[in-house]
Amino acid sequence: MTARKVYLEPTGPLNHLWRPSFSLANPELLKPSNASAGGADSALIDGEWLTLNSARKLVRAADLTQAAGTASSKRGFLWWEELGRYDVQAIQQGNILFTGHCEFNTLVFDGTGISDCMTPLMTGVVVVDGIKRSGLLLRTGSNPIVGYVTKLPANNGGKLQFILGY
Amino acid sequence: MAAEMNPALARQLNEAFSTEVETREGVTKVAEYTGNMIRDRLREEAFCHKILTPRQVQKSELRPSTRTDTVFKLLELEPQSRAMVMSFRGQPTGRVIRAPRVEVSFFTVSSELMQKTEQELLAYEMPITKIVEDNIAKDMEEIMDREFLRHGEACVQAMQEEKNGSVVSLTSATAADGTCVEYSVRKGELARQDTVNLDANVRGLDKRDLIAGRQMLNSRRLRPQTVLLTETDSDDAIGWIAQDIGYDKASNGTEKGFVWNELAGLRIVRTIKNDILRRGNVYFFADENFLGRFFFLNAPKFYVDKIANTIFFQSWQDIGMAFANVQAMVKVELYTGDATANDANGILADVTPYPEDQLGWLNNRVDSGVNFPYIETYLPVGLLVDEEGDSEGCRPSSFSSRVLTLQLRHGQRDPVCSSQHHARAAQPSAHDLSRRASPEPCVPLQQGQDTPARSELPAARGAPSGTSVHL
Repeated sequence: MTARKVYLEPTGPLNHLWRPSFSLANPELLKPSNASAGGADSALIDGEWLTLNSARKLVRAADLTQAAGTASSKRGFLWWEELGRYDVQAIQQGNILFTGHCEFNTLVFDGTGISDCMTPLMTGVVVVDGIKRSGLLLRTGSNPIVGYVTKLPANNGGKLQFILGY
Repeated sequence: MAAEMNPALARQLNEAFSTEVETREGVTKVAEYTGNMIRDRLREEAFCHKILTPRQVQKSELRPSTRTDTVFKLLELEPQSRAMVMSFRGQPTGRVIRAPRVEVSFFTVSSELMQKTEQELLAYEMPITKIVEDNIAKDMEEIMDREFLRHGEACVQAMQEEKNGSVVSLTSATAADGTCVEYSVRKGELARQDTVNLDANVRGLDKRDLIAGRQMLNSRRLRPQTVLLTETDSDDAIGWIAQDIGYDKASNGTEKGFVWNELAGLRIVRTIKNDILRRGNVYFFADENFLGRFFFLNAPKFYVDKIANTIFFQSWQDIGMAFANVQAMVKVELYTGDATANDANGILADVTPYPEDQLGWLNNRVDSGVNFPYIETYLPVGLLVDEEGDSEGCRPSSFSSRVLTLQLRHGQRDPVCSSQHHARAAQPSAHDLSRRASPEPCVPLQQGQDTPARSELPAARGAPSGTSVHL
C-alpha cells in the first residue's frame, strides 16, 4: 500500500484565507490514476501552483512541457487539495488559496540558489519524486513574487518554509 | 393576501438578530414573516429530489480514503445472470457471481458568506436577515439541481458516444440522414422537420416526444417513470387539441393551464428554473431504483457569528449523488442544433445550465434605475433639523410625511428646512440639491420631539454623514 504523503502543510491558521473553488480546465489532472503520468496531464498534488486562464479556470502556473527551472510569468496560487480527493473528483473543482497570508512547509520546490531567509520565490517547473510539477523556485527577473523563504530546507527536514501572499 | 408587518417590528427583528448573535446562544428562529417586500422571483424546491429521493447516510455507512480525509459510500448494482436451454444430458455454462459497485463521493453545497454591519441592518424595514436565511436554502437546492443535470447530461452523452463510436454531432440534419444514431438523445418531432436552420430555438413540445422518450427507455427494458421539463415547454401542451389529449383535458387546459400530474403514463416534474434546465431539454427517467441515489450527510447547517459590528452567516449541506445506471435516463431535444461537446452550431451555452456564479435570475431592474414611476429620492425617514437644533421650519411636508423641502436662505451656504415653502413646486433649484459642504449632523426627530438631543449623531461607518435631500 502506498503511504500517504503530504506535500504541503500550513504552520498557522487558515481561516482568514479566502479559499474559493474553481473548475479545472483539464479535469484529467484530478484523477489519481494519472499520478505518475509525468507529462502535462500529471495529476495535481497539494502544494502545486495554479493560475487562472482566460475562461477563469485553473491551469498549472508552470508549463510542464518546458525544462525544469523554467519560470512562469503568471501569478500562481497554491492548490490546497490532496491527490485523489473524492469531493474534488465528484465536482471537478478544487480550492486555491486565493487571498491572504500564511506560512507553509512545502516539498514542491527546487532549492537551487536558495541560501537565505527572506529570499523571494516565484513559480516554475520543478521536479518532485522524479515527476515535473508546478512549484517554487528562486525568483529571477521580474517574474511575480509569490512568497518569501522563512526557513531553509537544511534546517527543516528537507522542506522549504515560506510565507505566502506577498 | 399576506398581512403587512409593522415596519417598526421588522426593524426590531433586524436589531434582535444582531443582539441574539451577541449572546452566542444560537440563532432564535423568528416568527414566520409576511410583509410589504416585493419578491423578485419564485424560488422552487429542488426538482432533483423528486427524481432521486434524498436519503440520509450515517457515519457508519461511510468509508474513508486511505490517502485523503474524504469519504464515500459504496453503491452496489445487481449482478448479471441469464438462463438457457439444454438437452437432458447437457450442462449449463458457469458464472462466478460478481456485482459492480460505485463509489458515491460527498461534497459540500454552500451559500455565500453573508455579511452586514449591524448599523446598516437598521436601514431596512423588512427583516432582511430572515429573508436571506430563507432564500439561501433554496439557492443551495438550485446548485443541487445544477449538479444533478450536469451528471445526467453526461450520462446521456456518454451513451450517445458509445453507440456512435465517438462524439458525433446530433442535429436534426444528422438525425435525418442517419449520420448520428439517436440512442439516448433524440430530436423532438417538430425540430426534426427543420433540417436547415440548426439553432437553439425551441420548436415546441409534441405529444410524440413523450412517446419517443418512453420508447427509448422501454427498448432497454426499463420502465419510464418520470419526465422532467421546464414549465415553459410543458405549457405547449395547453395548446394540444382535443384529438391529442381528449376533450376534457383540452378544455381543462384552456381554462386552467397545465394542471396535469401525469401525461402519457409519465409523472410530470416541471420546473421554472429556466437558467438551470434550459428550454428545449426534456429528460425521461426510469424509477430511481434503476437509476441512482441521492445521499446527504447532514441537514443544512447554519453558521452565525458577529465580529465587532459585523454579522456573518452561512449555510451548507454535505451531499452525494450517483447515476449508477447511465442507461436509465434519456433526453429529447426540442431544438435543431447540436448540444454535444462538438457544439457544431455554437449553441451549447444556450442549452446547458448557466455557470454557477451566474445563477440567481434577477428580474427587477431597480439598481439600474428602471422602475415606474421613477422618482429620485434620498430621504431620511423623519425630520431634519439644522445645527442649532432649530426645528422652526422643520415639519413634514403637507403633501407627504416623507417629502421635505429645503430652501437656501439668502447668504446661507447650507440648506435649512422651511415650512413656509411647502406649497412650492416639487422641483427645487440646484442650490437646494447641493450636498452640504461641511459634514454637519442631520438628525431625525423622534416622535413628539421638537428638537433632537445633540448626542444623537449618526455614525454608521465612523464618519458623521451630511444628508443630501432632493426631490
